Amino acid sequence: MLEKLQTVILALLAVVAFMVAMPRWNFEYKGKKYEINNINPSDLNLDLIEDEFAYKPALDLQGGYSVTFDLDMQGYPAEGLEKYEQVKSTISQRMALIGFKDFEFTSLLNPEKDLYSFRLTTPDRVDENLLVILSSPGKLQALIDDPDAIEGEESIDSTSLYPGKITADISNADIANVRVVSDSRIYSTDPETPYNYGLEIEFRNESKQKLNSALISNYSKSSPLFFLLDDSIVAVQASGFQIDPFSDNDSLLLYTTLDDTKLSNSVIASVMNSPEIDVPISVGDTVEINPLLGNSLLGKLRQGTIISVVLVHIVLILLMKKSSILLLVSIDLYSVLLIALHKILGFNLSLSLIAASIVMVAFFALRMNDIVNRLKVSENLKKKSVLKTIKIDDISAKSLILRLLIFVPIILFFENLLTVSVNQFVQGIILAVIVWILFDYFYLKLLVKRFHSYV
Amino acid sequence: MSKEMIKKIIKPNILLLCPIILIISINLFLNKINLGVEYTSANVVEFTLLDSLAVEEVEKKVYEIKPYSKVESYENNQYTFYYQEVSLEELESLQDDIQSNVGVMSSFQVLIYKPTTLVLIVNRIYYGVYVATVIYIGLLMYIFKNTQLTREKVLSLIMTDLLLIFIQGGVLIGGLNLLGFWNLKLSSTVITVGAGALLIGMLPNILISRKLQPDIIETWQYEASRLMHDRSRLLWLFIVIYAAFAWVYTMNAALFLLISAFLAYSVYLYTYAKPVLLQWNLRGLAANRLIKKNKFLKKEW
Repeated sequence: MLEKLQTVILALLAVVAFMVAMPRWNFEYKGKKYEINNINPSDLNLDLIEDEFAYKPALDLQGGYSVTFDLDMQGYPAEGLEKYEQVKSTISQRMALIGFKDFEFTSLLNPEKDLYSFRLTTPDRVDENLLVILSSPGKLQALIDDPDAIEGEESIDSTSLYPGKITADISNADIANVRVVSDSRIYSTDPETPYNYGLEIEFRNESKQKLNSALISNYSKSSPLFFLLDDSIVAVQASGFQIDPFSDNDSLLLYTTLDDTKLSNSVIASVMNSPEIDVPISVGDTVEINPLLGNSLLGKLRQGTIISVVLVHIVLILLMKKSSILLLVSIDLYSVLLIALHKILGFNLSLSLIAASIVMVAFFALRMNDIVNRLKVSENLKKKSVLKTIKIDDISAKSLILRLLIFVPIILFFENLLTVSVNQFVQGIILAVIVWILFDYFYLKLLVKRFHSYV
Repeated sequence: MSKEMIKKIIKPNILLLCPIILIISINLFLNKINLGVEYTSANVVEFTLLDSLAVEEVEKKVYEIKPYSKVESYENNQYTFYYQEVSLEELESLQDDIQSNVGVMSSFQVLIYKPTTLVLIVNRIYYGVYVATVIYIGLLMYIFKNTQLTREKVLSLIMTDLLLIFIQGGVLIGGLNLLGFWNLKLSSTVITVGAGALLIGMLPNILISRKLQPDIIETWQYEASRLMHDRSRLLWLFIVIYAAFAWVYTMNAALFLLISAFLAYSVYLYTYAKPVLLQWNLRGLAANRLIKKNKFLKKEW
C-alpha cells in the first residue's frame, strides 16, 4: 500500500516536472492560434514566487542590452589614462558588488582622440536610473539633526536642502561593508509592512566613533539617520533597528528610497561600498544587442536538440530492443527533472549550461546502461532480490541530506568565482549531479522494479 | 601485466604521443597561448549604418575587407568588429572601404578594447582550479570506496588520474592553441566546449574505476575491454553528439575534428595507456621505503 502511494506521488511529481520543463509551443489549427505554455508559480498558487518558471536569457544565445558610459576627461589632460583606470576600477568594483550573474563590462578608448568609455552588456534591460546611480560620483554623506536648530523657529535654515539637518562627519572611507539583507526590522513606520530588502551598513573599526556620535546627535528626537548619495537621500535608518547610541555600535540597518527590489538595493550598496568618482560620466541610450553567437544559433540549437533526442531514442531502440525501455525512461525522466530545476531556479540558457547538461546526460546514460547490463547478466531477477542482485544500495535520508549539503554550496561558490561561461558550466554540472542524487534516491529503485522485466 | 604486453601498449603510445606533444610544445613555445580578443586586448572598429542591412551580409562584407576575430551587432545598425594585432591606423584606413562596400555610415570610430571581466577574477582562477582538483579527488575517493582497494592503491590511482588529467588538459589546450592557425582564438565558447570535452573524455575512467578490484591492473584491462565491446556504442554515440554540438556552436570544422580526435584519444588514454602508467606508479610507490613500511596505507580504503 505504502509502495503504491509512493509510486503515485513520484509519478505525480514527474508529471509536474514535465509540465514545468515543457517548452512553449505555438501552433495554428483551423485558423485559430493556440499556445501551450509550461506551468508557472501562479498556476500553482505560489504567489510568493515572483519569477516565472523559465530559462533566463543569456547573452550568447539570446542577446541582451548594451549601454555605454562616456567619460569626460577634459579636466585631466595629463593623467587621462591613469584617471580612466581608476574610474574603471571603481565601476568594476561596483559591478562585482551588484552581483550580476551574466554580464560583460568592457572598456573602449582612444586616448589620441580623447575618447574614453565603458560598455555594460546584460541579458536583461537595466533600469536607466540604476545605471545613472551606478556611474554617479557616489559621494556618501549622512544627515543628522542640527543641534542648533529649534523646531518651528527661524533659526532653521530654510535655504538648506534638508532644513533642520546637517551632515555628519561620515564619508565613503568610513564604510567597511554594505550588504543587501532581508530583515523584518527593516520598515519605515509600520512594523506590519516591512521592506523585502534593505541594507546592512558596517563601519570600519576606526570609524565606529563617527557612527556613535551621529546616533547620539539624533538620540533626543529619536529621529533616524539619513544617508545621501550625491546630495539625494537614498537610504534611511530602519525604524525597527533600535540601538543604544552610547554602546559600541558598528552597523546599522537601512531601508532604501528606490524600488524595493534586490537589484535596486544592490546598486545602492555597491556605490556606498566603493570610492568616489570625480570624473563626469554620461550614460548613453540602452541599445539592444544581437546574440553574441549569431541570430540563427538558437533555432539551430532547437533543431539539433530534437534531432539528437530522436537519434538517441532510435539508435537505442534498434540496438537494445526491449531492454532499452528502462534506459530511455530513465534518461528522459532525468532530463525532464534537470530542465524543470533549471527553469525553477531561473538558470541562464547559455552555451555553457547546454554543454554541461549534455555531458551529464551522457554520464547518466552510460551509468544506466551499466545497470541494464547488470540486469541482463544477473540470473536472479525476482522482484524483491533484483536490487540486491545488481548492487543498488539503499540511500538513507541522512546520506541524501549530507550529499546535498556538499553539492549545494558549490553552486553558490561558483556564482561569481570565475568568468560567466565557466561559472555557468560548473553550476550546470553540479546541479545535474544534485538531480542525479535525487533521481537515485526517489526514482532509481522504483524504475528498476517496474521495468526490469523488459530487460 | 607482462613485459610483452607493456611493450605492445607503450609502442603505439609513444608513436602517437611524441609527435603530438612535440608539435604542441613547439607551437606553445613559439606562439604562446593565444587568449583571443575576449581575454586580452584588441583594437575595434565601431560604426553605425544609416540604412538597415542584414546582419550576416554586413559581417560577410567586412570580413572580405579585413578578416576580424569577433563581431557584435546591435539593433540600431551599430556594429563592433574586433581585430587582434591590427594597428589603430590600419583600422582607420578601413573607413572608405566599408563606406563603399557595405553602406553609408552615420558614425565611425576606432577604439582600443580592454576586457574587464577577466581582470575582476584573475586572482581567483588558481582558486577555481584548486577547487576543481579537490572535487575531482573527492569524486575518485568516493568511487573507490566500495572497491576493497588498499589506501596505497587508491593513492596510486589518484596520482595516476591527476597525471592523466594533466596530460589531457595539456593536449587539449595545446590542440586548441594549434587551431589558432586556423583563426580559432580562445573565447568563452571554446573554453566551454573544451571543458565539456575534457569531462566527456574522463567518462571511460569513471566507468572503469567504479568496477575496480584489488588486482587493479588485471581488472582494469578486463573492464576496459568490456567497455570497448559491450558499452562502447553508447559512449561513441555521445562522443559524436558532443563533437557535433561543438561544430554547431562554433561553425568551425577544425574544432569539430579536434574535439573528435581528443575524445577518441581520451578513450584510448584511459582504456589502454592508464594500466601502464598505473603499473609504473605502483612499482614506484612499492619501492619507496616510507610507503613500504607504512601500515596505515596497507589498510582497506
